[in-house]
Amino acid sequence: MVGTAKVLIDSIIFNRAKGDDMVAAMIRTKLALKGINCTKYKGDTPDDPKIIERLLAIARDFGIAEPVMKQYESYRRRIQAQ
Amino acid sequence: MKAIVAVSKHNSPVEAASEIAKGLALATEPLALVVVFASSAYDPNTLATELGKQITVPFIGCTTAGEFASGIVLKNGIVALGLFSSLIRKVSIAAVENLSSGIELAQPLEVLAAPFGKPLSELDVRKHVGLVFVDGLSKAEEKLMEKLGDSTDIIFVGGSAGDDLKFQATYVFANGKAYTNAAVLALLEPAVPYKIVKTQSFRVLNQKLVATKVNEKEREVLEFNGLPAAKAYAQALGTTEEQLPNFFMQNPVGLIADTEPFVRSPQQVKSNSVIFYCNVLEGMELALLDSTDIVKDTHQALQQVEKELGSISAILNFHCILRTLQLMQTPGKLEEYAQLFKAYPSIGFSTYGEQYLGHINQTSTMLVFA
Repeated sequence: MVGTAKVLIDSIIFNRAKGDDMVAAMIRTKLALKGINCTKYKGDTPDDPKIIERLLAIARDFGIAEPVMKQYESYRRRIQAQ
Repeated sequence: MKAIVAVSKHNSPVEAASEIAKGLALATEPLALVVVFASSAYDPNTLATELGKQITVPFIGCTTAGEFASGIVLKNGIVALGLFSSLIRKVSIAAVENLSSGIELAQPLEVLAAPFGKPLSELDVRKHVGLVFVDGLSKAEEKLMEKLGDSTDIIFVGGSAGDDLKFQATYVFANGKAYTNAAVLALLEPAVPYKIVKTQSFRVLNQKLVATKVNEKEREVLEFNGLPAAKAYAQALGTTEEQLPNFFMQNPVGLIADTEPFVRSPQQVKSNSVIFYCNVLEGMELALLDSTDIVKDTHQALQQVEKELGSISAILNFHCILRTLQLMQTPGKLEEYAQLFKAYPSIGFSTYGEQYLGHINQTSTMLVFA
């Protein structure tokens, strides 16, 4: 699969920032400081299980595991159905 | 006037605390919060106890590796900034103890939130700001800041306590008590606009170093770009491994986030590894940095923030000890830097690292009030 990291990053930013651009920028910096360079992951980036696990752990730490997990599962189902 | 500065160079902690209290008593309005930065030359417990007796409002602070106060450079002194209630509407303070046993924030965050009537996660991030001072020898800053940042998007800024480069023990202060192996937090609701300034004096070079093997706990990078870290770092600079430490102050590395460098300063070469003053995580891509003029850049940053805020009524400045040491290499330069703050009620200290979203090095990180 490809693109899962980008889906997770977008979901983390969306669910934490709730449309606030200032908070969204802050979340991108927090992710960078946690070792996730948001600009590195595109829609066609091959999935790395270590990065996906890390992003899911970050979603848990941010207290947004449930909505992020839903979007993750939905993306997986959509890709597998293709 | 919305803030008052008090300074003491008295070498007795009892007399120094008394002098600070007398200085703060000249305030023309009630104080909401006092921030104190004190040399490690004072006995921290005596000083905190005395300040607790003599300052009747909440206070927070830490020991330093040198102090600043509105244009003055101090060594072995104490500086305090009294923030008026017309500047700070509401404040709470909490300590995070036993950092070495793991960082537990639930209870301290409850203490911080109590006067505000709701958890930090529900407070407006544009109307609240935090202060954080951490034991500068704990190596716990990254985890503390990460956990704080996980819990809330309210920005906490501050510094790692110093001990005048003795590297023996550093202390943080809150409400009459000195703590080591601890951090102290303050949550503020300013009554005026405010800005956080993070200024560093570096240009970003093209050379990249990717940390391919690290010992996170010891802030040690074993390999950059798949090579022994010291060798790769030296190659990027076009120098030898033997000469590499001579370049550390001028050429640290930076994690670039949204075009902004978050400086990671190397401390020493150990065998073939490089030890840093803050964490570098495995896989992190770092850019090589090259030093520019600290005084000029800080002046520009202050001019910019003054323009944005309209006026400045108080500044808290967390200034990396490495910048202090770099400025001291040129006679008069540290004083020139301090003079930039002469026009403002301001205090600052030379830190063992700054806190802004994470743990960073070689910045002046400031909380500036209109």
